[in-house]
Amino acid sequence: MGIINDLANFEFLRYSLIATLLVSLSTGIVSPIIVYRGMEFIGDGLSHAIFAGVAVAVVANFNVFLGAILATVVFAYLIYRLNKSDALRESTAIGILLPVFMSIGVIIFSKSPRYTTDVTSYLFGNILMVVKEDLYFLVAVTILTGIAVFANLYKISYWISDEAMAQFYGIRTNTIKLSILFLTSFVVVSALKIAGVIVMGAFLVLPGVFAKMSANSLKQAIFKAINFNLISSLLGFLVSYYFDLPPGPTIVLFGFLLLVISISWNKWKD
Amino acid sequence: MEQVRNSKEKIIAVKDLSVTLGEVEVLKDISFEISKGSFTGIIGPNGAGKSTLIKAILGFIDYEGMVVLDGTVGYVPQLSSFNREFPMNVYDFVRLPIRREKNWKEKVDSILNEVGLEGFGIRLVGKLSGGEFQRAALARALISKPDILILDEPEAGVDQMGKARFYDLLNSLKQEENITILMVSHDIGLIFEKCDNVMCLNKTLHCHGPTESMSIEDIKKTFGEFDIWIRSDDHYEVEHEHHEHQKNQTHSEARSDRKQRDNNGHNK
Repeated sequence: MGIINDLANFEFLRYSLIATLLVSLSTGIVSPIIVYRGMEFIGDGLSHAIFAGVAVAVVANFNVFLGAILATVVFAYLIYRLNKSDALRESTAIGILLPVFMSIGVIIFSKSPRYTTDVTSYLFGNILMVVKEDLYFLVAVTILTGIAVFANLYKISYWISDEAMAQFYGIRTNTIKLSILFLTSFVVVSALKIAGVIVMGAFLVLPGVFAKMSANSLKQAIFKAINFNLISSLLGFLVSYYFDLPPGPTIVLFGFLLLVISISWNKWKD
Repeated sequence: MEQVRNSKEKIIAVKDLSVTLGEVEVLKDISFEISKGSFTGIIGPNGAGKSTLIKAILGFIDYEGMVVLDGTVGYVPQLSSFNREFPMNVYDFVRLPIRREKNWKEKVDSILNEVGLEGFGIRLVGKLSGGEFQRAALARALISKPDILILDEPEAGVDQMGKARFYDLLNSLKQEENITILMVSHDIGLIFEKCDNVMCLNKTLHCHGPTESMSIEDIKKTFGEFDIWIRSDDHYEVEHEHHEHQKNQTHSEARSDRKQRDNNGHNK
């Protein structure tokens, strides 16, 4: 069993496996919320916002994580503001801001001598470069997301299904909206090294779509999404290890395969 | 925008209410009062501002003028307000106004029995029929025992049988609980059959009074041409076909006149 020995011998491999499982948990928690709310592009949007934040951090020579967090928080807040007065739908706001943040990132990165390396790393992720601090951050974000979501599950459910009525009966929907956007920002930032900008969208959408097919409640959808993520991540991780493939994209392909099988199975059953 | 609660025989009072959305004036100088325990229907064409009036009364949107509500309010929105793809069961759907109470489950069971949805608690809201959904929405509005019940087109998407049951339920509520009902509807036939008062709205308030003092014919005269806004589902198809037929006839007469004029001109 090569992988067992390697896991015992190589710290970086253990870290990358733990990181993959933690990302499966955190993205599994927020994914059904994103999909039911129709904000599927939030993952892409936030990832592109990260790109701009990382670019600024790299060029200005300060902490990359801080740059990423700041950029996603600004991005999330702008979506909230644009959507607040019902002037624009969330997806429209994301569609407007996404190319803006991406363009800022590209322009700034073009002035950086590390352009090619940095871009590839942040576009596709580099799971094998995970360090202990990344794991601490991932654990903190996963716990925070889990507590925040499960403590407010009912309010979040009503915010998704009938925002006007939720507001009418005293649920602070704007606070929930802003909190979900910020939590998703933290999840995206923490998963950056594992998934990368391109793969992040899939991590946030595929499990939610899978869960939506058969869940009877938001709670059940979250557990289904987590299971989906764990299975596709472990399979992707193993295959990428044995065939020397990039882990992030391999995990996404397994997720997609799992989704196609589930859709076909459901159709066959009906 | 001023929203006040006071105690009088009148349970709802609206004074000089105007709503402007963007640059469009949707409602202008609306004033009326509604007595406690009455059942009032609001009718008007599409785009007349009926739902906007409800939203202003409920405080969902900004307005100029004054709204006085002398009691607690339950609200039954349009069918489309709920995301039916979302997996929420009827228990969770109905308990919203009393979600913090410990015995919410007993209360939900009791209100579901009252609206004829006994045993529906664990059913998914998205799988309910239009009529069942509206009764669930009514249960949610009633569970906190409101003094005023406001409904926005509750019959939309509901079959005839469901519609009749729904209105009977509203009437029994009015009689047993002395609840005040304000309802927007497209179904003028049912409004005249079930409501005590009628309000005709088209940006401004065109008429407001007891149902027995008005007739459908009077309202038709007030608003002119009978059109899709003023319909009963029984009458709509027939009326619409009649309207279309008349329109086609007028067009063919006009074509025939034009042809004759052309011929005359050509002959000259």
